[in-house]
Amino acid sequence: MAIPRPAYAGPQCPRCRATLPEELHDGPNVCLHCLGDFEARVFHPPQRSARVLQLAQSGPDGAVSCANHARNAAVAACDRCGLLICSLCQLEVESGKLCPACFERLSQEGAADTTKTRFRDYGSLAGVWAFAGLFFSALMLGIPLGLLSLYYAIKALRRPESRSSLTFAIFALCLALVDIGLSFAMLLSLFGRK
Amino acid sequence: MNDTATRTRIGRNNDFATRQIIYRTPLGIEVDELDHFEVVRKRVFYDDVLLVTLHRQQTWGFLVLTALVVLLFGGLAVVAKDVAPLAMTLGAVAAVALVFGTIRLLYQVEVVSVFGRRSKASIRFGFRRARAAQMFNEICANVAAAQRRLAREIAANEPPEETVAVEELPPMPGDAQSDSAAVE
Repeated sequence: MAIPRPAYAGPQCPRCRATLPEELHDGPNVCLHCLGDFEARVFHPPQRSARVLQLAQSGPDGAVSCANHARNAAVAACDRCGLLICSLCQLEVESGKLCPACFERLSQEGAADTTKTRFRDYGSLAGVWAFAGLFFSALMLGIPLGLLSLYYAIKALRRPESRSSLTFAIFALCLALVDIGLSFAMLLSLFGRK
Repeated sequence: MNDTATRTRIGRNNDFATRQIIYRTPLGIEVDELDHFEVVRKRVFYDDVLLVTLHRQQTWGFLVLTALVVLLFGGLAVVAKDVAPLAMTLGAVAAVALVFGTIRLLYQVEVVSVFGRRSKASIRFGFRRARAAQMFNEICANVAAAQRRLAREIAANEPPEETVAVEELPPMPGDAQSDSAAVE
């Protein structure tokens, strides 16, 4: 579990994390709090604004109100539940136009890829089981643990988003093969003696 | 944004409590924070960036760690001086740590920080000053291009200004007098 950090609240001094004054300029700057210097480039991103069509503006023909905002005219229907939504409620995701409730549900279920923010790190899992298999290979546990590590390593190689490092996943895969090989060698030597 | 084929790894941000891998994508910066066996992804979109900074800082944690390694292995090398191969091996480890520590002390670490409206990303460059400066310039150029594109998009989507026909009012009596006076 990572150590919880204070919530991000906008641009800070990169050295002491104190809130910066608004009159920053491009080029060298000095933090008034810690007196540390840093090079800065300031941007003023344009604001997106949704144009909301009011029901009163849209005229008497075919004007339907939004399910969430009675005064706003509906401009689309949710692709998942069919609810009529105004331009404020309309959320465009990879699968189409969604209402806020469906978007929330899909992101909680992890069904919408773009909203997914947590992934299982199969590369690390493969590494842990591969090392465990190496440690216990004398007890012939290298075969099951190696196979488990192999399974996770292949999963990590097949899903690029589910690995922190490709090199480590390949290393874990090789180590898993070594585990299995060592345990088989142990088994063969045992049966060979008998 | 989730297409991992279009993202390239640009650096790391590690300290005692954090392990992060930073990627660059066409839409912004992605930060993969490693939390045991889970990867938690955060994003800083170029559209949202307010400030990009570059600064140099000393990494005291790394220096303390290398000092401890130098002391430990150097001490062991002195203790094991009668066994020459062992003492040489331990001494070599201490020497390598000393070299790394000295280089880090002199060079420090370059940190590029990207502050968005809702999230931030930091990238540390240990021994590569030129790469840090290049990354700072590239990120700034990408942010500027993305924000220009967004401004154009917003301008294109804005409805045209409605021209309201102003009805001409009949001239006021006072106005008619002043007009005739002006003619005279």
